[in-house]
Parts: sequence; structure tokens; C-alpha cells
Amino acid sequence: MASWRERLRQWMKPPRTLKVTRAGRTYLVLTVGIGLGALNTGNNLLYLVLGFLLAVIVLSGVLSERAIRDVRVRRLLPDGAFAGEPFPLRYEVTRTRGQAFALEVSEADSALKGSGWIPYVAQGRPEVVRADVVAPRRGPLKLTGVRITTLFPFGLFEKTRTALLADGLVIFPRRGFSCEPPGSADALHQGDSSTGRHRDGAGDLLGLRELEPGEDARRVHWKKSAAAAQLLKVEREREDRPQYTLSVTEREGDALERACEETAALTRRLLEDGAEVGLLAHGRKIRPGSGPGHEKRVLTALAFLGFDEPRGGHAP
Amino acid sequence: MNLASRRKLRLRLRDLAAASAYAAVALSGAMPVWVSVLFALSFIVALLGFRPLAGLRTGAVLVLLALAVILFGLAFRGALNLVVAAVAFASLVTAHRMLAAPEPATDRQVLLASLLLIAGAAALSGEIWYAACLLAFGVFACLTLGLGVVEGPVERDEDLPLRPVLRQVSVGVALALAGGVAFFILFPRISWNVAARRATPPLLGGTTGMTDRVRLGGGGSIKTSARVVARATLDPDPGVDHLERYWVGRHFDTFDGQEWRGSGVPGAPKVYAGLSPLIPGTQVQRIELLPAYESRTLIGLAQPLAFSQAQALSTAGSTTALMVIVKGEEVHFATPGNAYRYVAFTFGGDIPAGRLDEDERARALALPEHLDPRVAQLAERVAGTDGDPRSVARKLEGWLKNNLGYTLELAGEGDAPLSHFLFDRRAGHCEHFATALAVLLRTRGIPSRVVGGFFGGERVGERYVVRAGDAHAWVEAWIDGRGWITLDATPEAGRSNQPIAALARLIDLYESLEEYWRKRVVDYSLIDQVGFVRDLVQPPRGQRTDDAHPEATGGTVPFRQVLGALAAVVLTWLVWRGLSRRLAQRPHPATSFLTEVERRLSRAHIARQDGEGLEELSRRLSSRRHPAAATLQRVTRRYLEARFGARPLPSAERRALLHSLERELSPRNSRAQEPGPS
Amino acid sequence: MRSTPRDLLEKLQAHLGTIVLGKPEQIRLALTCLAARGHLLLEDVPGVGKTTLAEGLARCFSLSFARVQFTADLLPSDILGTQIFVQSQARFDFRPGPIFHQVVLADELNRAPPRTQSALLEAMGQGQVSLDGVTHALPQPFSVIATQNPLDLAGTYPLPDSQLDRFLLRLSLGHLDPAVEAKLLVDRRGEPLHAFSAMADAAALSGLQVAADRVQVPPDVAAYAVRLAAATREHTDIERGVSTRAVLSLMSAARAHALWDARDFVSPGDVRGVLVPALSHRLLLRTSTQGAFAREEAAHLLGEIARRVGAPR
Repeated sequence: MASWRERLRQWMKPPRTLKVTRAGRTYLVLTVGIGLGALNTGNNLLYLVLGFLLAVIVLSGVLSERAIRDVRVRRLLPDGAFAGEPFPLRYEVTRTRGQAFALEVSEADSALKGSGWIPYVAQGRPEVVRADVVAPRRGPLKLTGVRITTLFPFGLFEKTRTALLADGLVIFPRRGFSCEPPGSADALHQGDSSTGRHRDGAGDLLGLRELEPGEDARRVHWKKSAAAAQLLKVEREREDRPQYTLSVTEREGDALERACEETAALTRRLLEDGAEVGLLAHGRKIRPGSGPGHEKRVLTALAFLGFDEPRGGHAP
Repeated sequence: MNLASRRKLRLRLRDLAAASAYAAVALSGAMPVWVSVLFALSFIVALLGFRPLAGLRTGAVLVLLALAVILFGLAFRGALNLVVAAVAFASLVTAHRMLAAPEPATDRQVLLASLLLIAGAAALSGEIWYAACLLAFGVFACLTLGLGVVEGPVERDEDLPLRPVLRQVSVGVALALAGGVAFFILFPRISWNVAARRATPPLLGGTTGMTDRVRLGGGGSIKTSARVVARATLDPDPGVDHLERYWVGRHFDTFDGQEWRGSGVPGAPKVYAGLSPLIPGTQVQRIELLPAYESRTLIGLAQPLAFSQAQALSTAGSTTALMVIVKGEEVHFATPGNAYRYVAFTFGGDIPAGRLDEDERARALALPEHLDPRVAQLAERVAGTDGDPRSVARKLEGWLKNNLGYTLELAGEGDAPLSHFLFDRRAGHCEHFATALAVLLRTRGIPSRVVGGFFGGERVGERYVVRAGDAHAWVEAWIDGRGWITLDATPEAGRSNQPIAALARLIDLYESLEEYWRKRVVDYSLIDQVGFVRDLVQPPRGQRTDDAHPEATGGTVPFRQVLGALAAVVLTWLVWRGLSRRLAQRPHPATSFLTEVERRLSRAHIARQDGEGLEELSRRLSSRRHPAAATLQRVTRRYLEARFGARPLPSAERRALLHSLERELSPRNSRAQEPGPS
Repeated sequence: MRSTPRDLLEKLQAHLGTIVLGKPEQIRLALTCLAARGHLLLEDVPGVGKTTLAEGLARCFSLSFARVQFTADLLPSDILGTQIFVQSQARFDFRPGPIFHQVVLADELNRAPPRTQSALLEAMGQGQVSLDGVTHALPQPFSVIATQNPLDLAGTYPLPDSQLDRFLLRLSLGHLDPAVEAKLLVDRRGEPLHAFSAMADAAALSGLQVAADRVQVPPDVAAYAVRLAAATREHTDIERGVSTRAVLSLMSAARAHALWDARDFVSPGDVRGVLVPALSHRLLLRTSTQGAFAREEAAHLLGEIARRVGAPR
């Protein structure tokens, strides 16, 4: 059966790496020394010690293999992360069979440095471990796999398995860039309204008013009208916020990085001030908006500047 | 378990591991006392939770350096064996690391240094204690390492369930021990023997009563010792439980009033490999002198004796032993060893006695100076006027036996222990009786000498064991025309050993363990390996004839049985697992029907898409108007009903369905429209 | 003559096939949805026959039918009905809205503001309308068929996940085969629905629904459905797997699906048959794409899961 052969091959060549720790190196040297001593003197007690030492090596291999074999890892990615500052990357580690000890979970082949440590995983009970990692630079980050390492059982060897687990993470521009706020909002009016207030039937409740002929009957407040014996209309008002559109014109290099960081800082500041912020960069436009979702949209766009667009490229 | 108690547990285990390793070294008896004291102090301090060297770095290293200089100075001057010095230094390093700040790295240093100690101890001792220490060290060290690993790179103050960790590590330790034994058994014993170390005396020292002189006034605790010093297989087998015979070791013919000495002249060391002379009535004894014997004098059942085929056993294996004959005194080994094996022949029947030469006669008649005159008077009174030396000897023997008491409590012997024994205390132990009889005989002009050896022999299995407490002294007198005859004035109760029963049983257990240890571990050799493999491949039929030691068969059979039991356990487990899997998910009867259907479909080369079930296939085929679609639909429906709809499929219907499906799928029917994979 | 559920369903499928050409599988699932007392969400570009299918479904069972075109200014009362002040008697009269029909077609549901959407969806969930403390029961059988245009999302209010959950199945009709399209051009004269006659009545639909309720779920198949659901929760590309309510919906759809094979028990094939339409709109994917892409992606992932999770044999 092909599947059987396949399984055998997988078993024979598991994607594992083995590293000898410092203590393990000393241990191996001692083992070789004792082995030579045993061979030289023919002292059976040395053979006995050698036997135990070799058995411990073999057992280390078996137990560590068991510890990392049936481990299933799921990445719980944060919504977004800023370059240059630590952010929590969580891994959910589950044992489908048996239990695991002393696992270290980290990212494989990625610029993210940092790892999480779990002392014990019981069967079937997911453990969530947090790794504080730092992304060095802005941009989309491809995560290919998770590295699971164990020193179990005796700390002599470090066995690592890489679980393939593809994910993407957007790294926003570095924070903490201080910048000057743009000029007063009054100087940057858009549109024809000078008051910034609109009574177009949307927004907050303003009051009740008699229904004029020709006005939309759908705005009649029936209950109040019945009580007052005349048709009353609900009036609403909404207010315009100052709108800004920030633009990034730098194309590449440090200048682009700097521009991205500056724009991100400015966006945050303006949104906090209650303004609506839009973005115009590299031919892409984000209409002015507000709210946390909008900030994320702007940050994401900034993160992707200079990189390929994300797959399924829907402009946010 | 929280961090503090976890750390405490780990450090305790670590220190115990180190202590076990040092115990292995210390029990070899080779360590200088001051090293032992230092180590014990460090261990106690560490166990109490103090780490005085935690802050110091340079100072601690300097102290260690100074100790190293002292040790190697001693070794250089020859006061200390180099191996011993190295091991002593390793113990000091261990103690030093034990007292350092408790960090993960320190743990590993302690354990690795302890491992060095264990290896050193293997070179220094071959005692069974070593096995216990090794076991303890292995268990403690593995547990410590396991706990340390689970702790992680940084200790965190959070609760951690240790039970599963300890359980897994314990299972691991058990497996490691089993694996270690397997490695031990199978690792080929090819010895280069470049720089083998000589055997050293065992820790407990020799316990035998065999000494090179018999001195009146010594202690007598030896009579209660139940340690086995020798084992013998007799041929022909006397078949009694208690062998009331004398095992002759050594003759003493010169008495100075205080102690007896031998005066023989040693010959050249030689190998004696003679075979038994074919004299009827010869008693052949295959004797094994155990490490507890701690003397090189050969023993054998009464005179006249011959020895041959001697082997010396040591940790490095067995070698042919050289023997030195000291005429008129003893035969001893010239080859060092922990234990010896040889064959002794005792010739029975009448052998014409030789003549005693003048020199010998003079020595056997010599009386010490300043002999108490009452001794001669006593001899005269007891012997009377009898002129026959044999009856005189019997009379004197009988008088001593009947008139004097046996005791092991000796006090106030003074300068004349013999007079004190005969006239004041009127009680003594075998050496007193033997001395008295020999001197009395000599005053009557009968040549006599004292013999040191053992009396008795207790049957254990097929063999007789001789215990340290069986040590005895008696007298031989020369009768012209008859030769040396054995006389024993000691009352019967005082002849063989008098151990406490429970202690004797305990000692027996220990001895058998130790024998197993020596036989199966210390003396394990390539030949044993070959035998082991041969036994595995081809179980022996009937009694092995080449086996000089019947217990070897007794030792191998349980071993093979253990292997068989292991195999049986594994087999049972496999069967049980297979069965439980089968029973846990016993396939539904309809599932086998489905398997049959699928087999027929694949035989007819009906391609199926990835993950496509029978229902989807059937629907696909009918939408393509495949000739077999209608049948397959019927089959599918029946399968679903039988599998999920609680309408079982009778075997007749099942056969009919499979048959019709096969007919529909046969090449000539389906050649029209072959559905390709879409 | 009483016909079996299967005969009835096949007859209806063929009948509907005369007005919605070339989509037998979609008709089949739509009928399954009705038989399972479920609401249907049709997601497609305009002009592929969504409205025709919805109205045809209503007509063939001779059910009362109302169509509501959702717009940005549609108010809840436009759907549910309004209290009218009757001056002569000085009291409020309830004037029922279009929702008081047995089949309601909510066209372009996502164009209405969330308040209006939720008014409809709450009524769907509860089978009744509460206005000013008075509860009005909706007619039975009751089904809402909503349509969405997945491509043109500008100026729309995408349905929140909790609301999507109320739809039993989500279908997409898709463009026609060129051959079928050509046939349509040749054959069609005038509005086909004009000539469309009823084949059954509301009682027949109730009968189908009762029959679907009677279909048994074998334990193995239930476990299979649970495993499929668990697989969606564990899949790395799926942010949030399906809920327990979703599994219940899946099973009720599978029950109705079993009627097509005239079985009184659910088979794994039934579960697989409704897996994508019943679950695809309940998944939250990690790649936050929306619209048609998300639907295809979800269908793709579910297919992968169905292949991976072993069915009971």
C-alpha cells in the first residue's frame, strides 16, 4: 500500500533537527571516555555504566520524539503589530495523544524573534502560550511555520520539529514618531458648507416639527402625531468633522519608511482629535473616515506601501 | 507545586545523586578519610539548604586549586594512587558545586561530576554495593534532570503539576535501566587491556580466621560471622546436611608461649594442573574461595591433600593462578585476585606414612621456654603410665574436652595464657584447646602441631558453604607408622559457627546476591555473551555437561524464563491491543459490503474523485447515464439502509447485489460509455 | 392520489425547471430549504433569475407571495406594517406589512440600513411580529428568500454574521450554460411566470416539512457532522468555525435532503450534499476578503474539510 510506504518514509525522515546542548556535549565526551575506559580495562562495571549512559541517550531520543510528535499548534495572531516594539503572538498547543513537557514554541524562518515556553500540555486540553516577539520592519510578514523545541527529558539534546503553518501578518509602521499637527481645521474646509451641519434626515435627533406639505411622509412620527392631532415630523441633524487626506509621495528607501512612520503618527493624532483622515499614496486612495477600523485600514495601507498588494486585493 | 518547594525537591534529589555517587567511591575504601569528611560536611550543609559558596567565585576556585595541589602532591610522592587522587579531586569538585548557587547550570555540573565519580568508583571497586549506588545515582540524577528541564530556561513562580512529569521520567528511568542492562549484556567484550589496574581489597575486608599466626588472647567475635568464605562441590557427594569435616588450611609448629608460627620454606611459584590420580576413595573438591575469604591459603578436606587447576578471578577476568608450596605449613596462591577457584583431592584409604625427618620431629617436639611446670605435671597425671602414644593422645584430648569449658569471653590472660586457660579460667576457645593439647602432647614426647582451618560445611543446594564463623583450630599428632592423626580437644559445640538464625538468612541472601553480581556482572565475559546468544538462538537440550558449576544452569534458566516471560508479555500486549482496537471499532457488517463494492468499482476502473463517497459517485454516474448507474444506485441505497437505516442486509441479498454489480461492470457491458474523471 | 415526498419534490423540481432553466441542483437545494422550514439567501449578480426562482417557489405551492425591494431609505415599518390612527374610533389599527405573506422575497437585502434588516430577520427567527406590545403571528408555512448582490458592495450594509446565521442555506445561481442560454432566447416568449401554475398547496409543503422532521439521524452520521464542524473550528484558514446552531441547521437541511432519496434516515452523503450551502455563510475566514471571493473561498475550504474528514463507512 502506497500510504503505508508513505508513512514509513515520513517516519524514517521526519522533519526534525537535533542539537546537543552544552551539558549534552560534556555528557557525550564522558560517555566516550567511559566507553574507552571500559574497552581498555575490560572492567565490567564500566561497561555497566556505559550501558546506562547509552540507554539514556537512546531514551532521550525516544521521549523527546514522543513529546513533540502529536503536538498540534495554532497561531492566534494579533490584529496588527507595530514594527520595533514587542507584541504578543499566541500559540494554542494541543496534544491529540499523550502529553508533552517542556515545549518551546517559536517562529520558523521568520524575522520574528522570541519564543514561548510551556512546561506541560495534557492530552486534549489546549494550552495557550504567549511569545513576545518583535518585528524588525514594516510590511507584510509571511509566517511559514512554527518551531517546536523540547529539551525533555534530560536536557542533553534539543529536538526541534517545524510544523508548517502559513499565515500572514501585517506589520504597521514604527510608532513613536513625533510630528507637528497640520494647521487649523478651519483653513482646510472642503465642500460648500461653511457650518458643517447638515439636516438631511440622518444623525442625532434634533426635535419635532410640523410636516410641511411636500415633505417626505416617511419622517412622520405617527404616535406623536396622533397625540397632537397634527402631522409631526422628526428632525435630525448631523455634523461634519474636519477631513484630512494625507499623502505619501516617497517611493522607496529610508525616505519611504520615514514618511510611513510620520503619516501613521499623524493619522493617530488626527483621529484622536476627532477628525476624519484619508490617505493618498502611490496611486491608492482611502476616503476620509474615522473610528478604530478606519485607523487600521490606513495603517494597513501604509504597511503595504512599497510591497506587493495583498492577495484578493480589495481596497479597504 | 510552587516554585520554592519545586526547587527544594530538585536540589535535594541532586544532592542525593551526588551523595550516592560518592558513596560508591567511598565504599571502595580507597578514599582518604579527610576527603570523605569534607564531602560529608558539604553534603550535610547542602541538605540543610545553605550554599556558602554562592557568593564567592575566586576564593572558592582557589580553595579547590589548593586541594588539587595537595592531592597531586600526595600522588606524586606515592602516598596516593593516581586514580584515587583523580577520583578524590572529582569528589571535591562535586562537593564544591553542591555548595555553589543553585542554578540550572550548577545542577548539571554537579551531576556530571558525580558521573565521573561513578565511573571512578567502577575502577576502584567491584562490590555489590556499587550496584546499589549506581542505581540510586541513576534514579536521582534522571529525576533531577527531568525536573530541571520542565522548569524551563527561566524559573517562573507559578504552580506546575509535577506528578505527570515525575511519572513520565520514572518510566523513562525504568526503561533506561532496562536498556542499560541490555547494552551491558550485548556490548561486545573486547578488552585491549592496555593499562589495567590491579585488584584492591574489598571494602569490608577479609573476615576469615585464617591468619599467618595463631595468637592466644585475640578476640573471638569471628565465631558468629555468617559470611560465606568458600563454597565446595564434593565428588562423591556425601549427601549430608552438615558436613562434620575438617578443612585444613595451615600448620603451625612453633610455639613461643604466646603464639604459634609456621616455619616452612616457600618453594617457587608454579602452575599445578595435574589431574586426579586414580586412587579409589579419592574425594574431589571443587572449591571456590570468595572475596570475603581474603587470604591466599588454599584449604581442603583433611590430609593428605593435593591441589590443582587453580584460577584467580579479578575484575579484569580470570587467569590461571600460580601456587606456592610452603612445605609443612601451607599452600598459597602467588597470583593476586579477589576470588579463587581450584580443585582439591583428598586421598582416602591407607597410604603408607612417610617418615618424619629429624628437623621436623625436633620442631614438633619443641616446648616454649619458661613453660609452666604444672603443664607437664598435668600431662603426666592424665596420661598415667600409658606408653602407647595414640592412647595417650586420646586421653589428653578427652580430658581437655571433658574438664574445660568453651567460651569466647576472654579476659585477663596475662603473659601466660596457656596456664591461665588450664588452671585459672579453665575455659577458652578452639585456639586455647588446640594449644593446650599440642603442648601437653609434646611434654609426653609425641610430635604435634596446631592446624588452622575450618570445621563444618553447610549444604546449600548442591554445594557446601563454609562460613567465616566456621574457622577453627585443632591438633595433629605424629604417630609412627600411622602418620599425622587429627585430634580436637574443643568441645563439639564450639567447633563450627554459631550465628544468629535471622542474620544468617540475611547474610545468605546477601551472599547469593553478591554471587549473582560477581558471576553475572563483574565476571561477565565474551564467553558468557556467546553463551547468552547461543541460548537465545538455540535453547540447550537436557543437562549441560561442560558445566562445572551447577548453579550456572540454575542461574541461566530463570534468565531465559525471564526472557520468555518478557516475550509473552509483549505478545499478550500486542494481541490485547489488536483485539481492543478491533472490538472498539468493530466494523459494521455493511462496511465490509461497501469495501467489496468499492473493490469491484476500482477493478472496473471507475475513477473516483478525491473524497467522493459512494452516494456522490452513484449520482454522478446516473447523471452521465452510465450503464451500471441503476444497479449502483440500488446497491448504494441498500448499503445506506443497512449501514444507517437499521435494515440489515441478508447475505443472500448481499451476494445477489454484488453479483449483479459485477455483471453490470464487466467490460462488455460498460464499454459503451466509460466515465472519465471529470 | 397521495404522492410520496420524493415524487412530489421531483415533480416540483421539473416544474420549476421550466422557468429557471439549467439550474436543477439549485432548484433542488431551494426546495430542500423550504422542506426544512428554512430561509434562503440567494447571492448573485442581478439578472440570473433569483426573483424568478423565489416567485416560482411561492407559486408552485400556491403560497401567498410578497416582494420587498430593499433600499437605503426603507424603514422597518415598511416591512412589518404600521399602526394607523383611526380617527372615527380614536384607536390604532394595525395594517400588516408585506412580511405577512407565506413567501417573502427580500430583494437586495443588504441595501437597507441595519435597523430595517434586523426587523426582518428578527421576524424570520421568531415567526411573529411584535409591535407596540402586540404580537402578530406570521402565516404558516413561512419562508423568506433574500437576495444579495455580492459584487456591488458600495453603499451597502453587509449583513452581520449573527443575521446570516438565520438563513438555512445560501445559494448562488451563477450564469447559464451557453447552450441553455441560447435555448432560452429561442423559446421564451413573454414573462414565463404568467403561465406558471401551481402544482401543490400549502398543505403539501407542510406535509413535506413533517416528513423531513420524521427523518432519523443515525448516531454515526451525527458524529460525522460534529467532526466536520470541529474541523472548521480547527482549520488554520478559518478565523471562527461554525457554531452549534449551525450544526443543527446543517442537520435539518440534511434531513430534508434525505427526502430526495426517499429515505427515512440521514446518510453521510446528505450531510455532504448540503454542507457548502448550509455552512459557507457561517464561517469567518482569516483572509478578510468579502463578497464573491469569500464565498468561493469558504466553499473551497469546506470541500477540503469534507475530503479530509473521514465519513463513517
